[in-house]
Amino acid sequence: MKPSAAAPEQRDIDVERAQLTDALAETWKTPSGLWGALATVDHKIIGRRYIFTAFVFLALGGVLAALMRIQLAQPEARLLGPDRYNQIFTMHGANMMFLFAVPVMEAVAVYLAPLMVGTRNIAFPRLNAFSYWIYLAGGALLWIAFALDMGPDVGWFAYVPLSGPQYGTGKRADIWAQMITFTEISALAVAVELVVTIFKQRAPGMTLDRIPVFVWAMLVTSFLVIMAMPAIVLASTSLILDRLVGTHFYNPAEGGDVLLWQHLFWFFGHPEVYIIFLPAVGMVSTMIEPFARRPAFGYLGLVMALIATGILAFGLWVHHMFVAGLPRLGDSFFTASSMAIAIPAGIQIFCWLATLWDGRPVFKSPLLFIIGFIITFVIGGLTGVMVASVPFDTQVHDTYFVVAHFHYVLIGGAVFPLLGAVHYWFPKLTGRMMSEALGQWSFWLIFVGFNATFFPMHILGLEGMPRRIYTYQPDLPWHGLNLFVSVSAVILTAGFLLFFINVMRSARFGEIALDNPWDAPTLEWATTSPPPSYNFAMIPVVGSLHPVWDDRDGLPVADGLRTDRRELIVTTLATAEPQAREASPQNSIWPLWAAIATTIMLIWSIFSPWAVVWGSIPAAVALIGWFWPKGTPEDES
Amino acid sequence: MNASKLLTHLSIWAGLWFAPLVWAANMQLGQILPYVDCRSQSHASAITSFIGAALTTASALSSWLSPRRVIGKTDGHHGNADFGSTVSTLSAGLFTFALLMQGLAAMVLTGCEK
Repeated sequence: MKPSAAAPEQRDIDVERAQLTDALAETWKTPSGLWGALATVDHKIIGRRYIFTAFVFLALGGVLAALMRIQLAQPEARLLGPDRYNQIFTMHGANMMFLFAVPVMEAVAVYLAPLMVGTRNIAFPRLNAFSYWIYLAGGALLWIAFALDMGPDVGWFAYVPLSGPQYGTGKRADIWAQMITFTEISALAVAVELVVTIFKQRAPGMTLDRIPVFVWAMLVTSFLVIMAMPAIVLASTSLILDRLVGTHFYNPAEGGDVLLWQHLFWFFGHPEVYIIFLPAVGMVSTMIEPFARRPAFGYLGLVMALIATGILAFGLWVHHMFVAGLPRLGDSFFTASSMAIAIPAGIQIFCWLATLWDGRPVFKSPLLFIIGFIITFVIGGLTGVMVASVPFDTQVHDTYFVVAHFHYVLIGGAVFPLLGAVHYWFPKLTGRMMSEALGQWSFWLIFVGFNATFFPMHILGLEGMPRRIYTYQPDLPWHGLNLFVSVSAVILTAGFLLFFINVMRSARFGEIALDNPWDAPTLEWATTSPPPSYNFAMIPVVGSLHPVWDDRDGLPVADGLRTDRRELIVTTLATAEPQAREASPQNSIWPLWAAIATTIMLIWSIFSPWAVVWGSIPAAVALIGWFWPKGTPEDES
Repeated sequence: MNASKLLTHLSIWAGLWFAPLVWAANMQLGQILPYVDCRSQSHASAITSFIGAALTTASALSSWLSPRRVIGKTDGHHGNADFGSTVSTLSAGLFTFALLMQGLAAMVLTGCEK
């Protein structure tokens, strides 16, 4: 017999405030100790882990970048040989794209989206826990392989036939391909959770036109993940099949198609850029309001730009293949779309500028990173328009011009806003403020270091320096600029070091933060810093786009939820009217077991196709354990 | 949801589902029709692009006009209808622009260039 079936239901309206928070804390708590840490399904704890792990990968990828810059500082340097260099640039790209950029954006949303929409946990919280463990396993696979001199050496895009069975001997390409599987499973899981959370768990009253821009951005991003990532999962799986069981997907001699790889990869790869960039757009649009001290200009335009960019992102992939020999007329369609996507990007830029222009800006660290983002991203966008043109792209393809362009877009477009976001939401995560002085120092070092490092690469590219070369001869005209770039990279590295020092120092010794230290308008600031395990004692009711600004005396709340089981409100998709009270799953160790079983199966399948058969048995057992009714109140529908 | 309500929703959001669909179809045709253009020296790619632009313009109009009819009949919160209408109309405008650019490109090229 289920205990809750006999006991009377306890609801929030039946108890005093102090008793309410005690009861909710008991119901939603994560037990202390190792078991609790491994079994937790609290989106905040998992989000923090995700963010921390992603920044560890950022630091590791940064070390690789530093090694490359030391190697290229001098002609004919001998620090790295060609094989190790191939591994390093592959690891750097794969690590930054698959283990840092995408996961960290989703991680921020895992932490913030439920708070911003006013709910108590993310949808499918056990899947959320599973996704983190799988992500961690994928990252560990890649880095352990690298430590064992088995790191992939085929570029972050692993073009066939280089990565195919004819040329990619050993297991290096398989490691890359299976790392993709890990990270894509993880990303897809989070995307599904976010879509459901945003569609069905918004606070009552949060109609479509009252959703914070960051949440809109994550909704669009999640759809991009869901539609783009299956293409790369298909590509990496078929590559493994070619390599392991002798299929011929990419073998032209047997009816396969080498270009198929490029199409599949870039059908994923170009939206990937927007999967990284759109969350940053959301962060900037959200952060700019308290620092401009006015609502963001052009909410409608910003949301339209997000959605339109998300759709157009799927019509650009061939601009990575302009030298692949496709008909020029077909290429021109992709040029047109690539140019067209500059319009929503421009709308966003003008909206932010208008917000600052009409506001009363407070130049704290987060705003500095926003301004740094606008400057660098505009430069990256302009060179993007240049390489969208076929004749120009044909000249600079595979040169350092492209390296400069995509670092401007990715670091300018994503890392600057992300660093601003860390400064901005740090008090929410930790309850402490980051040092403003160190924040400003790290901004200027990163901004100057970044531009001094990457801008000269445009010139190196125009001078003909190709990408992915491990050294160059002294008589080539690249030495001076390469030395300058490498020295500038030291400044950039110093900026990041200072940022990490600031984070670690502030987490322990930072000034205690108020609940809403920036006077921000979104719902995550309507609860304590850091939030309790249940997020909100009572679910807020939203009456505007800026609820915290518009209801300064306290938000109206919805009541009637049970306190003796994990329960949240499900609302209608468009109008966010309450529809049902829904149980939210309790902590469980089974997601970890499922992740371990899946990890064994995926790594084993690098070596034997039978792993899929035998490895699926423990995975199935773990899933049965995961979904088996436990007799807790949460099992009741 | 009855048929008339569904139709209203579809027409409000037309700029966000129909216009991208037309644009995506034209992107695919852009991979197929150059061979036809080259063989027959026609401008099939340009014609389909301009037809697509006309269709996306129609979807923009549909998105813009539909909620005006609905709001007149109801007393509820119109934020979502207005919001959907404006976002859809603006998006359809963007896809119209992309299709016009594609049509112009197809006028300049013969389809035989590699």
